[in-house]
Amino acid sequence: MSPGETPRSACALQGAVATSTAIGGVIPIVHATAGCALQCYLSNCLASSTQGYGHIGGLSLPSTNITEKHVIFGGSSRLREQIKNTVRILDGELYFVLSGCAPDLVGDDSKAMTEEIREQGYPAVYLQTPGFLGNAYLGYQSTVKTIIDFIIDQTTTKPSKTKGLVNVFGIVPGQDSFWQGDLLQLGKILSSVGLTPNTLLGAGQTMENWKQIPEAELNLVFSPWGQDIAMYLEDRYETPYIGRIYIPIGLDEIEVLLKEISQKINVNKQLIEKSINNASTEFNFVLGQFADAYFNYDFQVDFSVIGPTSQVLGISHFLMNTLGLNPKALVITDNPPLKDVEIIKHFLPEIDGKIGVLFSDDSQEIAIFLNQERVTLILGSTLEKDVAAKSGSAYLSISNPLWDRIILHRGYLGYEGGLNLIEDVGTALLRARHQLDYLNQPKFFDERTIGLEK
Amino acid sequence: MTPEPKGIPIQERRIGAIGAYWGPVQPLIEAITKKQAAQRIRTFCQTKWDEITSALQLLHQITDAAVVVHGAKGCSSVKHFLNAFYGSGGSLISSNLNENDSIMGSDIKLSEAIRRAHRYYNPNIIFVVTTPIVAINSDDVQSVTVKLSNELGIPVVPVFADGFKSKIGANGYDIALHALASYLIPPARRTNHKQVNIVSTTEHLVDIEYLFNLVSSIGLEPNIFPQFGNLNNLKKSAEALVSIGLRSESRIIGEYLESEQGVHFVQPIPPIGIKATSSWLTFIGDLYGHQSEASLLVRLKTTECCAEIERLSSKLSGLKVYISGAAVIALSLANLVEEFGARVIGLSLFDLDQNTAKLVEENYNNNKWNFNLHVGEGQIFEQVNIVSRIKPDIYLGGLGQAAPIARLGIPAVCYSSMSLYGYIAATKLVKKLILATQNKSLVNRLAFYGSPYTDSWLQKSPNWYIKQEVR
Repeated sequence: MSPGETPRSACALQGAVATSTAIGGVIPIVHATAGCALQCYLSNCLASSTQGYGHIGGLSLPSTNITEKHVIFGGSSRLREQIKNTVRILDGELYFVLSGCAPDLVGDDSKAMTEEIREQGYPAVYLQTPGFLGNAYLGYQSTVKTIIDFIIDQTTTKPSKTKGLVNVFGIVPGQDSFWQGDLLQLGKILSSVGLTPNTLLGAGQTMENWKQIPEAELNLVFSPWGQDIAMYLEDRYETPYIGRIYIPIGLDEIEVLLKEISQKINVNKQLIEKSINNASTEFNFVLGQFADAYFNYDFQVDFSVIGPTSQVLGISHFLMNTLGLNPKALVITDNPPLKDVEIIKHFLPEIDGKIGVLFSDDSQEIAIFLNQERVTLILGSTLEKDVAAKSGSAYLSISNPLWDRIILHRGYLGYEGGLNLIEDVGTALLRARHQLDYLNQPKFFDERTIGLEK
Repeated sequence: MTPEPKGIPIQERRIGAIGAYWGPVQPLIEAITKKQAAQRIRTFCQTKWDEITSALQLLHQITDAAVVVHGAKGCSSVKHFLNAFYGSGGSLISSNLNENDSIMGSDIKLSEAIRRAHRYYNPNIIFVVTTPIVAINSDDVQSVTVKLSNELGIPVVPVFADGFKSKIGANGYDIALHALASYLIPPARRTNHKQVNIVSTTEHLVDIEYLFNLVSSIGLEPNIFPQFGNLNNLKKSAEALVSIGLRSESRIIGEYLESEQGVHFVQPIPPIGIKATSSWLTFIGDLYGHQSEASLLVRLKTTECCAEIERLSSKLSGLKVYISGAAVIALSLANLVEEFGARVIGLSLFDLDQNTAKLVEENYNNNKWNFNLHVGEGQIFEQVNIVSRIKPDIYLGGLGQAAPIARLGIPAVCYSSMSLYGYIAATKLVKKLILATQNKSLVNRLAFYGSPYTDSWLQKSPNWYIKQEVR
């Protein structure tokens, strides 16, 4: 990776912290210089959907805050002390020790320190997460794998399958702006066809849910960043998986997904039909309502999406295939593994004419690309707001880093998510139009309005 | 170019700074004054600001500068926060080091990042902020900055933040300001008798604009830097008669200007609160012989808000307040709320040193405080422990501190996003405090979360995890 402006997908440590703090009962212990855990707070909680944190996080993150002395003489003893005291101060179901760049470069034996506390009967596990290893998506992937290994390690008996239990992977807290809402939506959909969703992250999800991972009948993946985990679980527990690389938005995608699920495991076909029928009544009704504004204001425009693979493909498929919008320029920012790039290209929406695609997370490169393409609607991170303003494009913030909206439980996944997206896109287009109207107003009109206000 | 300047010793050595304490104030102040304060360390810590984040917070607001964060990606994540919170993330690039670079060295990537920063932003200065990877691998940053400085024809200034030099996060400000001063301030060609330097470091733009207007309206020419200023403001700084420091860290650049360029440096109590603003303005008026202009303005402004002060005081009067923040800010805020009739019942200061210790002593004496002092940046667990014991009516804290306290059911206000300087800011802040105590509906509901800490911790003494270092 070359140097870049404002890297948007943080580092492995930040991904691991965002993921682990999304699991109830997990207490991260960061072994690093003081600012590392602080930057987790600043980027994960403040600049990522302004989403804050749940039970533990923010400035409360335990961190060894190592200084020069520990860099010179080693910081293992500092970590030992920190772990020992963390278990006294914070009750947890899993103490998750994470090491940053400095202790890893000087060779602290963080693993041994973690094993020590485990020998004392405390549930603890260690993961090496220096920022130079990779981005937050990698941090997510390693975190999930590490906690699964910890659970495997703890279970002595061969797990039996629980009928209808489905694990969900690939939606990354902190990086996927709508992660919690998307998981909640997915949970509702799976429940509606009689399945038991195991979404693992966010409200109400604890270590108990993670312990059930081996019992699942099926694993669902929704980004390039959960494929390895699903394959690992398939090898280990023969759990089949559906490996999507993007989130399903709207009626069609969910219908396809549910049918695919029913081919893999036993699902009540009638329930699927009923669920789709119920959803389509509501969905189509709302879509019909939307049509009036769509045509009155000419919403059939070309658009650009900037974000991680799962969002870019998910959103562009929906906008194109359900709303009839025209994808023009797509930017994939999560630096997906090379093997996935070909798959991504395969899934790019197909239309007449060329779609520009850029793989980059450098804001300047992205800005230049967008300026060339000149689209009417830009869906991207808050970093693209200025580009949109300068080119007069309508703008909606949908990807990380995102700080001009608060997104807590809003999702774009599923039927409801699709409707959310319709509302948001419509609002963005409408606002841009009003903005333009305002700018184009003849001057006497302004004066008259001011006169009226008086 | 400029000869290589010497680094600056860490705050612990230079000004006897300490970052961990809870207990009676007198023995601590005595120890610090005698330069004998023990470097206590924590055996359990929570996160806090470090040198990199502090340095970046300060450097990003220099209007014509670009910053290269020389490290792994995550070290520059702070930019998004700066963007979100201050509305300007500045011109910032990461050299984006990976595992290979951490083994094979990073000079090529650094050169590339500096060139890219130059190409993208066309800056007048480029700062290179170092991080643990380069510090531990002893990569030669200076040779690259010297080379690129010659190549690009602009100063490329290394800021050896490293991230682990000191236990005091504010040390990052010192490192950045020291680099800034020694690289960028040339000797004065003339003296401008109306110019007053205002050293802004971490303030909000609105605050500085307010002071700019205040100082301008008594007939002086404020020169604002390094924040919100540019290379020209820095160059011009040596021409002033006096530099006014606002926050503690401004001392570094002020003292540099005093010792190297003969610009007198003063650090009056910052203009937070009605009385403090008046005396700040009067002080500057006196310095420049503009007494009459200053006193006229003070009279005008105080008369304007006189009725408001009385009205607000009647509502704030008697409330018990807990305050947390950097020493100078927290003490100023404490005086502000006492000015409006509230009672300060506890203080958490980020750190304490020989300069701020005097201020603490004065404040304890003047306000007849006898509560224990807490020193610690971040360390919410200790604050939760203290606050659960002394149960203030309201908590006033900095970024990220209010929410965990509010989850205990205690009304809280965060001052970090508010303007603090001047008359209007003072009354606005007091209004916020009153509102927070009057409507507790969210705070009451947040009690659902409660404290994540064990009962055994909450029953222990707040300094249980602060030990005397064995050295």
